[in-house]
Amino acid sequence: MKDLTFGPFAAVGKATEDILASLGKFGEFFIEILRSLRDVSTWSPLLVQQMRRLGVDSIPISLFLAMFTGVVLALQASYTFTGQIPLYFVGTLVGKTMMLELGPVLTGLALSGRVGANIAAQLGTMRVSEQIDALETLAYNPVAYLVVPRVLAGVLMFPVIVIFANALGISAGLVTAVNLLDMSTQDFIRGLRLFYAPFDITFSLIKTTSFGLVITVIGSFMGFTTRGGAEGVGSSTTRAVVISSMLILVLDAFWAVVLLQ
Amino acid sequence: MRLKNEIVVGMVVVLGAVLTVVGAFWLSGRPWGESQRELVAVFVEVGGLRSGNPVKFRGVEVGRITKIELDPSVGGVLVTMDVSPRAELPVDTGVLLTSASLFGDWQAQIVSRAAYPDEQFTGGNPPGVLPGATQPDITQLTAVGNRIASDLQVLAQRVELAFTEETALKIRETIENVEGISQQLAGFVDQQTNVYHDVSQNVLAAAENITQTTARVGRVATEVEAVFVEGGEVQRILGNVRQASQNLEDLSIRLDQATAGIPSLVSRADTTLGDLGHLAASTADLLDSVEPQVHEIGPAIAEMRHGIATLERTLARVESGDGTLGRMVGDPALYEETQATITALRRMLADIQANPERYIGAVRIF
Amino acid sequence: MLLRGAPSFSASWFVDFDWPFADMIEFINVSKAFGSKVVLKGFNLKVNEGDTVSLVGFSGSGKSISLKKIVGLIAPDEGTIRVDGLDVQSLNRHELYELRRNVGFVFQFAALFDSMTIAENLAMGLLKAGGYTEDAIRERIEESLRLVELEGFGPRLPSELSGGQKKRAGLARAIAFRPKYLLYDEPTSGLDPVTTAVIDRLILRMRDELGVTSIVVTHDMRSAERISNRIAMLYDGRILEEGTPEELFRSTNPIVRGFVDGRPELVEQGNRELQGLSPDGSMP
Repeated sequence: MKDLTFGPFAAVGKATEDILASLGKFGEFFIEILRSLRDVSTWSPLLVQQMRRLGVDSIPISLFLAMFTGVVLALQASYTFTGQIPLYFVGTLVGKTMMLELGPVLTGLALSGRVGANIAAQLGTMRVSEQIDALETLAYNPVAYLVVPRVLAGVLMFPVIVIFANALGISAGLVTAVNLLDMSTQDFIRGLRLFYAPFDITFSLIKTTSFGLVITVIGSFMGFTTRGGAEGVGSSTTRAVVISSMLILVLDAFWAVVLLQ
Repeated sequence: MRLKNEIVVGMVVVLGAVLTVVGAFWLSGRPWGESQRELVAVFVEVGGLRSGNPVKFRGVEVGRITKIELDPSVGGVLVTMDVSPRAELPVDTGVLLTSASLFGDWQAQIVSRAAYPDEQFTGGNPPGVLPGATQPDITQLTAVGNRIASDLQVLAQRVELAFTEETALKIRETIENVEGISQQLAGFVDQQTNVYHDVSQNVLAAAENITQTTARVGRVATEVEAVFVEGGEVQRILGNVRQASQNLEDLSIRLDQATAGIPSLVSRADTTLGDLGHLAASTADLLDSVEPQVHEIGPAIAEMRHGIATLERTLARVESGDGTLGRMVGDPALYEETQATITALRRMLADIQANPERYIGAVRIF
Repeated sequence: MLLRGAPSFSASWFVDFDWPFADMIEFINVSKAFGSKVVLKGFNLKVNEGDTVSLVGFSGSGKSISLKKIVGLIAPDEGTIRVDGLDVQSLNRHELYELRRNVGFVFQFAALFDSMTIAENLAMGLLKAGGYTEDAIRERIEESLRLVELEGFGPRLPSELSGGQKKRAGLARAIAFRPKYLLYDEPTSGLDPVTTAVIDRLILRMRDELGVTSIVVTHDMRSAERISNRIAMLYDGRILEEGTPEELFRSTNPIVRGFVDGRPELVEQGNRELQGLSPDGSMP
């Protein structure tokens, strides 16, 4: 009887408790990452390898995305700017949108799939096959050994990836505008420079760095807290991708509010 | 494998860093390698100016705005800009902030203050700080209206000198064209409403009135033509024209009232109204001279045609390129011309206010 | 027989030296629950130096968890675990790492790092500890592989090994440090009888050649009988019965009998008796 009446409240209470508990665990995990940064000798030999695996190897997918984004942006801009608006605004729109929004966010979303899922699956498998425990018994700090190199690689390499993505996206927009829209290169560049502010690039990089942090930390956290065999690894991977994608969009809005107002 | 990783990662990171620096530099549009001269100017306010906006000298881009900051010690805004040393500054250098296009991007122009007597440059600046002035933003919209008014005025003056059946026909065509422009302008202002909200409401009203006025003047011209074709009834036409002038005056007053609520607009609107008033006066003058008789006017026809050709060229320019005003807006030469027209009109208005007796004869109808 | 003398525990300054039985592993009143599931309650066990103790019990009775607590992988809710007199819970990270170098852990499925070769797996702990030359590490790896009869497997990847070979490689990794204690988590589960016998022989060999004290978690009674001098049966969160293999096989406790002989009806009977005997036995 009691369950019937208070069931819904109990459910809400339980859900709140669960969420707070996972937030607490996540906070603990994050603090552990910061603390493990001091264990330089453990993570430093692995950093370059992770920068290659998570960073350099992610460049093709992000370039692919950026190229098509640039093409589409240029065409959509010219479609929108009819009549009184000069065509050189195509350059402005492609440049601004690429640098401020689509470069970082699309790359972030793509990499939450590629990098976040990779980390969650790899660490999750290591967790369920007790390899993480084994590391501990060999006197390794598993966070310093497994997580720190990945997080640092993400934070260091994501901005580099996005710089390439921005450059290629804008170039693709230029090529499209010149070849398909009957614009001159000078017109496009004029539009590109029209509203350019040096902060655009800084903003892009700040955003991307935060995305790199979120993707790698969430992926690692999901991997480390994996339970229960192959299915557990699967659900951790899914959660890592879903949560980091959501957080990317939340952070995107956050930075816009904090830095663009 | 490890060595290879290090090489690859190193190359990518270095390439990314180079791309960032080069890209940022390239986008800012600064010339390569040239050491820049830093100029500082002070303004009461800077309108829509942002860091990174271009600095122009004699119409050539010579630098960029690098910093904008409030400075209580000079009681205004200090604007710092990096400028190419190739720009040789005039003795009475001033910096004029204007909008660079209708779409909200601004620019700083390094000018000789003597060339802009109507602009109020800041004075009493610390040494090394240049005086500055800022043009109001609404300029761009009223400018087009001013331009039409002044063209009409020129036309009317020419008509005063030469008035034949042939010219009447031309006038009619011209006025029809002007009407066309006015409609386009109205449409254009309509579009800009999104950008300029309430400000454009008033300008929209002004543009509509201009359209009505030109339509009226067109009707008058038709009747003038009829006089020459059928002969007679000059008095009746004269009455109609007087009515048209009255309407024009009414319009001026209404326009004045419409803009009265917006102080920043008033001076600009006044200029336009003054021009319209002046146009009306000229039209009245013309009618006065028509009333007794149209005398030997043959020699003046050439000049008349020249005037019409000028206007038509302008129209052609406006209507070229898909016939959109957007092109005109994007055409810097036309824009500069428009700016010049505004300044000239302003000067004229000042003159009218200072020496009304010089104009009293011309406006006796009112 | 013992190769090792006095404890070489560098963190031993931390020990309260009044503690009389230094060289042993001791569980005192340990309890642990995961959510609402109680795994251990009032668990007590002493493992003296030189012992090989088999911890037997039903699946999910908390045997592996007890092992992990010894090296601080899992913290108990209540109670104390002492290794050589040191309270594992009270150790800071550095001291815990020192302890772990004295305690080798053989995982149920070996838990080899699958991106590394067997030799690299074995070198991991030594590299981390430092102080070993490259030659010393290579020598130690070869010796450890020889002890588990995997000579020449160093360059192979874990995925190229059979289940039994993986367990031996895991054992080799655990003994690379020459630990004082070895903890085996289900070393023979999932293996055929012959491979089981090989593993059992290796466990004995570790005891004889390296002089280690071992705790073996298993539910294979035949294996436990072969390798251990003491067997402890874990049931319902605590030690139900403890003794030599002979004593356990002669036990009259129905649950122990049921477990040893594989007869569920005896276990059920014992369960009922256990509940009837408890003071508040009215609760089912």
